[in-house]
Amino acid sequence: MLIGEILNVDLDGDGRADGFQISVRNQFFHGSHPLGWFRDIAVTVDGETLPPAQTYLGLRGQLFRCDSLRSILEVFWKEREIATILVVRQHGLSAGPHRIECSIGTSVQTYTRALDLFDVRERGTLVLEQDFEVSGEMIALRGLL
Amino acid sequence: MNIASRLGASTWSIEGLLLQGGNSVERQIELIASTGAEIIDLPEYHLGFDPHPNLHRLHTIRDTIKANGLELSGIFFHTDLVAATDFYSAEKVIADLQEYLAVAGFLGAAAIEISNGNLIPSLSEQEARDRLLPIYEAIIPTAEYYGVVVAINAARPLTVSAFKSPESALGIVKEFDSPFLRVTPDFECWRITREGMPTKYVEAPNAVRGLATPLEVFADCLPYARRIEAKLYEFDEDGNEPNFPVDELMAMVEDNGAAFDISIEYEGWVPEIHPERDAYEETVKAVQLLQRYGLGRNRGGSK
Repeated sequence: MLIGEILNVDLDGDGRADGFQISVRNQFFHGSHPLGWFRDIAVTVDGETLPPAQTYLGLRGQLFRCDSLRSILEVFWKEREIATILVVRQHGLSAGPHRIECSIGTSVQTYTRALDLFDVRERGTLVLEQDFEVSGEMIALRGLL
Repeated sequence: MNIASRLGASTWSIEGLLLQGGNSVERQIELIASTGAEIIDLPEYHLGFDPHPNLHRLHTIRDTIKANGLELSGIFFHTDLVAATDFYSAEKVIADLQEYLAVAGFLGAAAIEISNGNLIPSLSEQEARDRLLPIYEAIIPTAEYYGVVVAINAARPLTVSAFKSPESALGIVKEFDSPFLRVTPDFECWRITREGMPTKYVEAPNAVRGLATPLEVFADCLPYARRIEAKLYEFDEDGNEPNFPVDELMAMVEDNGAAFDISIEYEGWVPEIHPERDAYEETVKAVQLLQRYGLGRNRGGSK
């Protein structure tokens, strides 16, 4: 599910990296779910787990803070759709190899247009791990934060 | 076999191809048509219920189904009715189902396929049933208005799920005795336990698979059924499916004499079974197996 390359991002247009982003394709069975179905998204870089409050899920030009997804019922991450996970981190990532781990909590609740607000159903966690080579390339993402 | 019975398949049968390669919905419809199917089932997420469909997109899908010589039998909606009344409200659940029926009517579907869901810890079985019945009472008139059957999917043995079993779904259907509220018996309930096959369910990973449902329950369901889900997993050299008593089940369908939509859900492509096999080719085998019982027209099996 982790795809493509990892890129540093310039969020304020000053020419310096303020974070990085990775791409994730939704490969879940019955894949379309509201964002509240995907909880506890956490990114770990080289063994360091980054603060959820600085981690965002990006979909169709919109950013959602990963620790605020719980009640979002009417924005869906669709089957096979590529989302970005953006981490705000001063200076982004240094050039060179990095081990990235991304964990995504999910639910077995099966009503597509309802969220298990009270954690009645069992939950699962999908952990994605991949080695990336970070280049010096950086993209500008002004206007999102 | 009643000549008005129709044979087809759900695009779920080839979902593995979509996950691997990103087939479009249009391509999936073409593939199902080329298996020899005469009807097709679609899951909600292929129609854009995320959360609401795009009307132009629905036109395109409707036209694609027609252009491929298929008719839409069922749209499968993932529901968990009792739990959703607890998370939100019965009014929300009813409104969702009414929207599902309206879209199904627009697309010319015979039925929407829904699930009661499982019990939740805060409710007894009777309390949960008391929540379910008013929901069905509220949507039957909408189903009549759109000419679309509400089919309660029964895909779990009673020992696994109080409300997803044929017995419980049948009990609810009998309560109303409406042609617009029917039970859909799913072969899965009659699966023979075999070594190497999955014993757990995705939506209930802590529930170990129970014993197969008695065969006579399948016969009990048929007078209250419009559709039958033919879950199939694998085929031997002779094209037989060793996991289900297909001969016995199809004999009961023939004895019943009514016309049914029989929809194949080939699911051998999941990682736990045969991910290495071509889901399309296996779906063709599934269609050919059920054609032996006098169902459907032989339209080939060529991509």
